Amino acid sequence: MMTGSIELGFKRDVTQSEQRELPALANSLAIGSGASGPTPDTISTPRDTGTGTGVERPQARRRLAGSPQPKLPPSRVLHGSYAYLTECLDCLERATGEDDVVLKENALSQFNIALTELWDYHPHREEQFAEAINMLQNIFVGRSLADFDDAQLLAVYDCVRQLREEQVWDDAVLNEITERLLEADIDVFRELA
Amino acid sequence: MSLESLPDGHEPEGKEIFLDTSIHCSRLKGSLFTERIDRVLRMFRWVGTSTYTKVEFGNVVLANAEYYLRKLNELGSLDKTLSFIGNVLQHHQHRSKVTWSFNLLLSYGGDEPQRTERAKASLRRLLKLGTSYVERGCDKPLADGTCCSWARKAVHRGPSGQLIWKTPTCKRTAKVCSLDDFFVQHRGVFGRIKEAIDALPDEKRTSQLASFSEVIGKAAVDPGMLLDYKTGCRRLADAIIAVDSYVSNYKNLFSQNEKESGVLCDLLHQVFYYLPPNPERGVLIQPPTS
Repeated sequence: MMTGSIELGFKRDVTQSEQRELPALANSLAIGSGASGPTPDTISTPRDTGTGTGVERPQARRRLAGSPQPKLPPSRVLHGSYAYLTECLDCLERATGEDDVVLKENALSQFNIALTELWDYHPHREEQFAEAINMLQNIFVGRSLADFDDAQLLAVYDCVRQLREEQVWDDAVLNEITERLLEADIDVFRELA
Repeated sequence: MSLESLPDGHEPEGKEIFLDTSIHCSRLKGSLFTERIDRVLRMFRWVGTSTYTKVEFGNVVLANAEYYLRKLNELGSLDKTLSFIGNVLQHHQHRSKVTWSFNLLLSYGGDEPQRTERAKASLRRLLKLGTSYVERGCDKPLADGTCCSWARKAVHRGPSGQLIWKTPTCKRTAKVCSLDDFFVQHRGVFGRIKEAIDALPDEKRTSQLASFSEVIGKAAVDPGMLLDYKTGCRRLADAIIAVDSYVSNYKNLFSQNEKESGVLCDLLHQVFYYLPPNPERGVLIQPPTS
């Protein structure tokens, strides 16, 4: 799994060396690798006054206290979501792999269409699904490929791939993805007025 | 001590810059701000901040996001929520809510129900990410001289599932950070800040600077008073951040607080990069007086 950052290094020097491998659709419908599931809660104790070292301690990701565990969506919804996420990945591969500008822009347009189709699934999915698809759509609204470099598109690709591998999208997964996009200097909360 | 326009080809002193809370917040204010912020950050190889800025970010951005989400749920419509903020709220009493509605209430989507749903989704995402937003814009580790406990807290869910950012309620009777120790350790620096503020002419001593001086004076006698958030820690916030940057050896500081940061940077021999609200002014710089 790509980590997207180095704790003590220069953030802007991070390289992404992960190879893109698309697992077969048949394999993936047994989704749920468990690799990105909720991490242990690390809420501080009242007496925890820190290390006194003058720098922040790294901490494990935590789920929001009181967050309900998302329920498993119906299989037809999971299947449909998976298929469109696969299409998104295919479009992003073409958007970064093609040399022809027109083909690249076409691939990005098709990516946006696939996201629109995904949005239609949100009434049947956990609330995090709407958050993720909305966030991905916001990134590309009114923008062209020229607004993104390859590292940024690769970050989006990795996030979409992670989402595809997750059966249920919980807050921990979404936070991880949001942080990864921010680390790639993608403005996920940009203004759209 | 004067601000001048940041020239093209400017060579900064050192490779590190420290961001105060205002810059983290301004990163959510759209391209008029982000383009100028990027211009400054591109000159540096290390972008730092302190954990304390996470709390202030929560108090400004997350508190407003929580309010907008609550209003969206209550009124059930983005249009009504915007109308409420624009026409019902008393602007002079709720300036922050009005200003931030332009940045956080995103209007995107086909029809009104969809725009409402998308606005809620964006706000939920921002709230759930919480103060991690600050971390992700900076290189780590963050300066943590105060071992701020609240900076490690996330937005949490209330009894009915609503997302809540809670303003700190820290009390000296239940110590959860090392702010008092930090003050004692750097008593000399805080003392110099007080002296410099007290020596300022009246027209330059803002109410915030006067408040810093007052709190430092009280803390010099009783450092434990800083542990009470409302009367201690909160009133000294920007000074705490400034000292945290100074003792972490940052030579450059980037802020939107012209008057306070200008005085503090000059005193602490830091180069002050100032982001004025008006984009026509670009970015201004205040070199330290020798």
